[in-house]
Amino acid sequence: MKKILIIEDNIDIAGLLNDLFKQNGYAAVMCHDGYQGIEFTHREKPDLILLDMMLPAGGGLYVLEKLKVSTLTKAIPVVVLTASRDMQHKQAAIDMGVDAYLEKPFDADQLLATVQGFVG
Amino acid sequence: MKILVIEDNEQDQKIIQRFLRSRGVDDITLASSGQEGIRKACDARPDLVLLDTVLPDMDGFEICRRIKAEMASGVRVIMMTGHVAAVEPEKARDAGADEYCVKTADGRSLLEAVSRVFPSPADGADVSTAAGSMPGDASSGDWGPGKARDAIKMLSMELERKNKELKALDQLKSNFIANVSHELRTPLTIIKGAVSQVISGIYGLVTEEQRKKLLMALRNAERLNLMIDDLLDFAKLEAKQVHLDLTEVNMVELAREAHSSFYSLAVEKGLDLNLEYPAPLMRVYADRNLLIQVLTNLIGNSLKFTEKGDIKIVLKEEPYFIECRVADTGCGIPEDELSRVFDRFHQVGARVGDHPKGTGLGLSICKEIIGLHKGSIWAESAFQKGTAVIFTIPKKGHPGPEAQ
Repeated sequence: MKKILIIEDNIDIAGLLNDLFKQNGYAAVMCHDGYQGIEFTHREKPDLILLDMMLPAGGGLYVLEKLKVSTLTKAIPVVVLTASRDMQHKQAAIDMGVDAYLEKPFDADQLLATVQGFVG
Repeated sequence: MKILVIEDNEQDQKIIQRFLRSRGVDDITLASSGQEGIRKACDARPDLVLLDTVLPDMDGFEICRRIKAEMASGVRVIMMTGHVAAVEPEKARDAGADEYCVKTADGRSLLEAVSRVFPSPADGADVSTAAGSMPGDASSGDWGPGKARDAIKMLSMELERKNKELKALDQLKSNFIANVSHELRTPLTIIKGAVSQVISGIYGLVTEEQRKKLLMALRNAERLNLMIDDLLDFAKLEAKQVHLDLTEVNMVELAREAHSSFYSLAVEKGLDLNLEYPAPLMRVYADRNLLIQVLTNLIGNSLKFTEKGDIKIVLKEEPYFIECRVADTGCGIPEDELSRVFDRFHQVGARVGDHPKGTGLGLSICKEIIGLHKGSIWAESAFQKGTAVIFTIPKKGHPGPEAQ
């Protein structure tokens, strides 16, 4: 079973995403801050990372950078979920190597299709 | 004292004359061009020439050089400039001028310059530079490279300070909008997510009645979403937080993209959605995302207000701009409202017997975006027959957004 790491500080959103993935045949784990997320990734090597951009300690862009710079983690697809509509934020994430950039509120079908595209 | 005034601006001529007369000088000769000035200088042989730095036929400094050359002995030249910021003391010195001053309404600067050129025991004291012309006092137009440099330094320090303030304010606005965006979209994400997931049945079986109500909640969450998008776009434009990301854009490609996004929706409603363009490549220099937003808005409006017939997207090429027309066969806009449709918060619909939909910001957002691109936007309509909204975007190389 493919493992999805959800890095999201809002507990409600994290919970919904968790349920959504579990219901669709994935194993899901939640982390509520960036550092935890980076650490978990190095330890457990999830198949995909769902990353919120507004995180308390170490913003989303920082986490993305850390994940994409390390040879141990850069191959893991990162899907960003963000409330921002700022094109500059999007470009910064793209430049950092993000694999997909989705907006909040998210569309469940679109999200599932995106994840499936990366991990099956 | 005989004075020659070489100045092309009639107003300034009058002011200088009046000033000189008030100081007891009535032998005043006037010239309005360099050539005339040089000729009159040789003919009239004045003691002093007051020379403007900008003249229609020749460069002021060149005129100074010529006069000094033609009249080897004893003519004094004072150069006058209209702009404090255009201080060019070195240039005037090099051209041979004796003094350099600023044209001020009270003539103070001129008076001071004259008294330096013709110092006299009588007025030496009261015209001394000590009065009101402190080092760095830019408004005195005081002669001397050091003082001019001080003035410039003060001005540029002030500019730098204002610039820092503006940048800080800009950052505040940017943070505010990012925060508000996050704060509004987070609860909405939860509402939409939770409701969709209950409907999908993962938390247990859902009855038909429950499903209906939940779908209703979802629809309204989506409406809220669209309104939040509108409001935030509007706020960003109002706060001048929108920065154009300019690239070369093919309008045809853009229109095609918009066309395919809306095609199935149009078909669902029983409407034709057509796209017409004269050539496959119609280039403009614009922000692609913002233009898509405009097209989306206009086509969306047409869809909203048209029950039968068709919606046409027509591109036209003009010498300096590309024109895009979105026309529908919808309910139209009453004539008395036509001029107000682009106003913020204006909602067409009160007379069309329908509840106003949305925020009423869509068209004003379009207007702002087109304005940022230095294009134009307007509407034509016949009540009950249809509406067309037309906008123009300047072509690359013509006065457009990059020329700001």
